[in-house]
Amino acid sequence: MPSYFDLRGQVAIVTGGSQGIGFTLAKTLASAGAEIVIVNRRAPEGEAAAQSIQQGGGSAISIPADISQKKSVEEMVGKTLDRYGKIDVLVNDAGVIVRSPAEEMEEKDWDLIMAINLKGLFLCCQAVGKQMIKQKRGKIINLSSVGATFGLNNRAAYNASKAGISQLTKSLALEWAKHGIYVNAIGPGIIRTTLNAAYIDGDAVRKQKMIQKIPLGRFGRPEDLSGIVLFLASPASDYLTGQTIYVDGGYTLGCLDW
Amino acid sequence: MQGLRIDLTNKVAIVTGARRGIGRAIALAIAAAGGKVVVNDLDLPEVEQVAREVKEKGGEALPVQADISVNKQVQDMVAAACKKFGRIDILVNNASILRVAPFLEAKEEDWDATLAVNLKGTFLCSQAVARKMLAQRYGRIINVASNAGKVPRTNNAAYCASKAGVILLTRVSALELAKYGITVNALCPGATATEMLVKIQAKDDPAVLQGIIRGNLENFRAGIPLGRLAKPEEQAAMVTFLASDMANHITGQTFFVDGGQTMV
Repeated sequence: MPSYFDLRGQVAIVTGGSQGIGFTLAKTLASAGAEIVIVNRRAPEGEAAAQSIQQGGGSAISIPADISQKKSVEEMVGKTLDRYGKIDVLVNDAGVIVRSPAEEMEEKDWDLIMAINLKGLFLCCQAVGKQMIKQKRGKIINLSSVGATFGLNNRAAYNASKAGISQLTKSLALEWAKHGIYVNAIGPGIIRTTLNAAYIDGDAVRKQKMIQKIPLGRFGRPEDLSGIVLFLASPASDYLTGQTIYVDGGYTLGCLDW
Repeated sequence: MQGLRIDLTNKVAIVTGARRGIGRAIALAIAAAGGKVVVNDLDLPEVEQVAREVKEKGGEALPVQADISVNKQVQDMVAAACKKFGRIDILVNNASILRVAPFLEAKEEDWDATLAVNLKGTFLCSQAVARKMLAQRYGRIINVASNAGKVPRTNNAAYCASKAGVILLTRVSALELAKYGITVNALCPGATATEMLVKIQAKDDPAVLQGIIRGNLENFRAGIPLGRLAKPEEQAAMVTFLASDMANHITGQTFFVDGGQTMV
């Protein structure tokens, strides 16, 4: 079974790959031998992430892009193809979150979340999908959330964008199955990352309440998503498409106890 | 990073219904990843054959004949597993039966037999093994349900109901066992190229042929976006992943390995 996770010679784009979950997933794919293209908005951060992977013995470059802009996405894909000539794996991790009560949510925040999380992800899928259709094979892995199926407080736009991602995942999986393109999503539960640690730790009562909703009794770590991203990127998952895999310590089990 | 290969070295697994098809592939895959396997089914010569295959490849296996719908036999199987290997880390509830009939003609005894094996058997094995896993504060239970447990299939009333039951049993047991470090997940295979399917095709039963495959195994593929049947090894890959430490934070989930047939 070892060969299942061997990604040597494969090219993987990871959007939002400079920090948080995206960075961990980029490192994971690099450790399996993939050539990584880190895509994010801020060039210095992308560069630093790519260097960090190189220092760990992996192969990575940084291509800055604003995924909410079609032209920027197409340029990013063009540069990737100029350099590597193909794209085997696309991990769509880039996303933003703005927390506010729904009745107070500002229109600009709604628009920003939809522009990055949903439209940006679609643009990346479309631009990379065109190449994968030519190749007759590809693996697309979208980062959804438990918010796609469960309501999470104060995240109306975020939840809606993630539900959109899970639904888009099915649509693309259906349309592109005939081209050998697999499209799946990972739905993380509450993962404690460098990006949200301050929020999670900021309120001890809230933190306790959050943990109580996780049957396995702990927050997720970015590394908890490493196994599934390898599984979905590799031939081990060659009969699985259109799915959202929740890695959430049982959060989405829900429970009707009272 | 947990490593790049599925490593089940020294893990002890029970695989029910492992004489052939998906169950056999799961037993062989667990052994290939380094696990020790209790190979269970109703037919002793056939499980002995699978155990021999495991041993020939350098693995360890214990063939156990048991009817999982009978509590006493389940208890004896678990005792035999513990006696031989000292512990149980992984339980794969794969055994199930399929009896096909139009809803209006389905027989009570077929309903009872289907629910007894597919649902009660899964419960009995899970309970007996989870009781052993408690002390270790570690365990992996993988229930093999079906995409027919989520989406209806003609002429499969009892089978569909039993598999839907397995999916919710998965979630209930995941919820209750999480505090002991035991995760429970379900695999929902779609049409997989096993002897069972070939048999269905060969069986000259108009209800079966009309309702299931309309006379042609190829018809299984029409509704599958990926356009082909699964290989048993592809189901086994999902199971070994879930059995491994790569899936530590995954519990209560249902995995449709069905070529995109069920996107729900």
